[in-house]
Amino acid sequence: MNLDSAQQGYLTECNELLVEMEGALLRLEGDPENGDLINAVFRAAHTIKGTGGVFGFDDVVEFTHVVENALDTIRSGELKINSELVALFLSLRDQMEIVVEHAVNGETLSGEVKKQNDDLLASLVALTGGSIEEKEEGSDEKISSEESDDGAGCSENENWHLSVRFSKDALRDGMDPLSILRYLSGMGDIKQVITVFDKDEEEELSPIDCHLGLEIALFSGEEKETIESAFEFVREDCLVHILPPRAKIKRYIEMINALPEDDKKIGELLVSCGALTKSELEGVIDEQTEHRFSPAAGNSQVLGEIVTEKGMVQKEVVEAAAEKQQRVRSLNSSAKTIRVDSEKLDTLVNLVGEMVIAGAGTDLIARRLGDDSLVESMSVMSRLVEEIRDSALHLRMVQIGETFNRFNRVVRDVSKELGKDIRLEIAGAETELDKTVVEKIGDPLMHLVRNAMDHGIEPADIRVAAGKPAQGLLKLNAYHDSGSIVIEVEDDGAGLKRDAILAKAIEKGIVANGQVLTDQEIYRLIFEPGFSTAEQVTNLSGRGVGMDVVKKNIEALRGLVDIESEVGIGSKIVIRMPLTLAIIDGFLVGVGHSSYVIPLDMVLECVELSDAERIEARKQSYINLRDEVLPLMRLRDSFNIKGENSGRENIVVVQCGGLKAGLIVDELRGEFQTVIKPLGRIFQGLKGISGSTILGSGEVAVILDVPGLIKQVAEAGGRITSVSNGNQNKSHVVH
Amino acid sequence: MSANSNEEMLVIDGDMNIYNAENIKQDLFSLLANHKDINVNLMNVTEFDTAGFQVLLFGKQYADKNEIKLTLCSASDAVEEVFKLYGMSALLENQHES
Repeated sequence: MNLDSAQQGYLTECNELLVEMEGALLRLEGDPENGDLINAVFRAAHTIKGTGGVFGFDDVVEFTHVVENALDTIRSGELKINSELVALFLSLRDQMEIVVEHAVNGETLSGEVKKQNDDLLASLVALTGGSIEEKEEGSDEKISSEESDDGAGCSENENWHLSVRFSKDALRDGMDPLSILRYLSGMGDIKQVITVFDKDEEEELSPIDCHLGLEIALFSGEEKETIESAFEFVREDCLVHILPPRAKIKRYIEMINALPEDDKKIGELLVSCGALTKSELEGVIDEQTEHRFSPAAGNSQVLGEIVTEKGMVQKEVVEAAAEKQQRVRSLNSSAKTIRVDSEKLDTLVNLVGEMVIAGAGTDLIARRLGDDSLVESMSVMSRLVEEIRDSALHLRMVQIGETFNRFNRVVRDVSKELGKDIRLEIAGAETELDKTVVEKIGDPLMHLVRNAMDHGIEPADIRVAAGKPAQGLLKLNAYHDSGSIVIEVEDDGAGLKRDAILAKAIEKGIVANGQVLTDQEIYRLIFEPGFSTAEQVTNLSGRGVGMDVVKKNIEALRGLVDIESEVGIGSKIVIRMPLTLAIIDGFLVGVGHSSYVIPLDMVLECVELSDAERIEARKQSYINLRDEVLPLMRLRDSFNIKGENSGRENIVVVQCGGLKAGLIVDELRGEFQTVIKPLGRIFQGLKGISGSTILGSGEVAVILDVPGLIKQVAEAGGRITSVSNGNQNKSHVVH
Repeated sequence: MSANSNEEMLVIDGDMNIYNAENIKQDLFSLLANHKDINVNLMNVTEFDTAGFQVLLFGKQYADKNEIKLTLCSASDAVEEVFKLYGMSALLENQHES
């Protein structure tokens, strides 16, 4: 196995565990008696420590161990959770993240990080009344002062301790344990070998299965790598533990933990192998007997007592064994998912995209040839390709919940910082969207959330005075809407002050004095660059800080951002994003000799223009569509296409973000699956175009940027029909 | 060796490895099922590997549990080396003694 990828796996696992831990901690704050939550936090810390130990990340083990012990005292009920403790554990969690990252990157901890470690642990000791420190350091130091003069908590064993459990197939695979023993004996002096063999149903045993395990004490001056090389060929299916001379007692415990046999038996083995002295084990037990058994480990307590009597194993070991079972269980439940490198998925989606294009080409040829059976089989093919495309895209879909849940912590921290009491409500966490979109939406969302908390929600006294509950409410909501995902950030704060924004915009020269603007348009001003920054005026100040950046980021993802607000009630920022960035269902239209693709999700309907309407539409830039004003745009004009259309003109009614507009085209060519090829750098500034694609015929078609076009229509004079709240009065038409 | 009616001698010749371990195990266990005192002579074992070792180990374990006397005697060099490597030399009867 590649060690790098294993470490990467560890990092991913740790991150997941840390997220889990954070979630549990946050919930603990509101529910301090919940044993499940405490266990979840403990389990996360324990697993990070345990796996860290396997990789030999001593820094991780050291730090996490103290945290774990503290959690243990909470688990046993010695210590009650309070918000102060939760806050501390949250910082400890953050620190764990840093330490793990350092370890995986192979960096040693900088002085600063070390200092943070110490500070955090010190405050942990302060909060828990020093009980942990005594237990933790005490157990280590006792041994070290009495028996070992070399580092805390180390065994005095001078030899390497190697522990191997062979896989059943080892012999059949040509791996004889003997060859390993012979190899090792060439490397140093094998002081002691204990062959472990405890199968009782000998009747069924086959001698060509390997039933052996070895505990080896090796005296050798070789490097760890060299010794590891002896196990190179068996590592993958066998359980191998290599402990250096004077290894930390902890490492032994971890090993005992990992071995299949009874812990007690291993303890005995280790003693007879000379790996641990009896007093070393007993020394730890003395400490452990002071430590109360947790009621949770009811049945392990019995075992623990037997073992203690014999002076073999400590309670920590027993507890870890119970933990091990639990981990096995959780492993089973997670076996339904597999981890895949996202690059592989991208490659797959790219290939499927190419296949879509190739399929369209073949389809075209089939039609041209007019061979019925060929056309038929092509249509089956096309359907399959479509399904493959959908499931390939689906692979990249992730739920937005994870991103949302991050904000629990943000809201908690920021509200503490601001001295406000704010509650976060999350809805639509299961809404799925493309992973790349999820990754990029995080930062803008963060900005919006902070803004809403800082400037939207008022301090408690003002809220109470305004007759609102003292606790502010922030809502994150996500849902699917016509091929886009809509994300809303809503607060119940003061709302935007229309007049103040307008005054500021006029002052900044963004809006001409006397210009008539709708409320919507005024609110949108806060996204204007240059509007923000600057002096802190009134309530609205700062609201615009960086809002232009937020808008730019979202637009870069082909998204839209809009704002609704009502004074005294609150504001809602609505982000609308495409579900995916790679492939779209398009609607192919023709103007002159050129083809254009309109994202199908945005097409509402197609209307044929009668001659009378055509003349009317020529004169003015709107028509009356079922008693609704529909602003129009002639693509022929806006893309400057020469020549006149002889046939009839059609209107494609498009909708985006609650706004409608009609695009006048020559020809409707039907639905078309397409892969978006991003535009080159030169064309990126072009208005009204969001990308290009290749048709089956090899021609290039331009993908229309519908939101951009709608904006253009608006700028061209006519206000846009609003369908969002059915409030026709607000949107009047100017021509 | 005394001619006790219950005593049985199993002499293993040649290889005792993964290829014939299963057969040797059958032989050994059928003896174990019917006798209380068994002598396994390993003098002529040429090749001896972990599979062979396991056969003897299974036998020894079964014998101990069922109070059968199973003696592994006259180990050849190959056998002796393997038992030594596994730290199990104590299981072998020193040939000079018996």
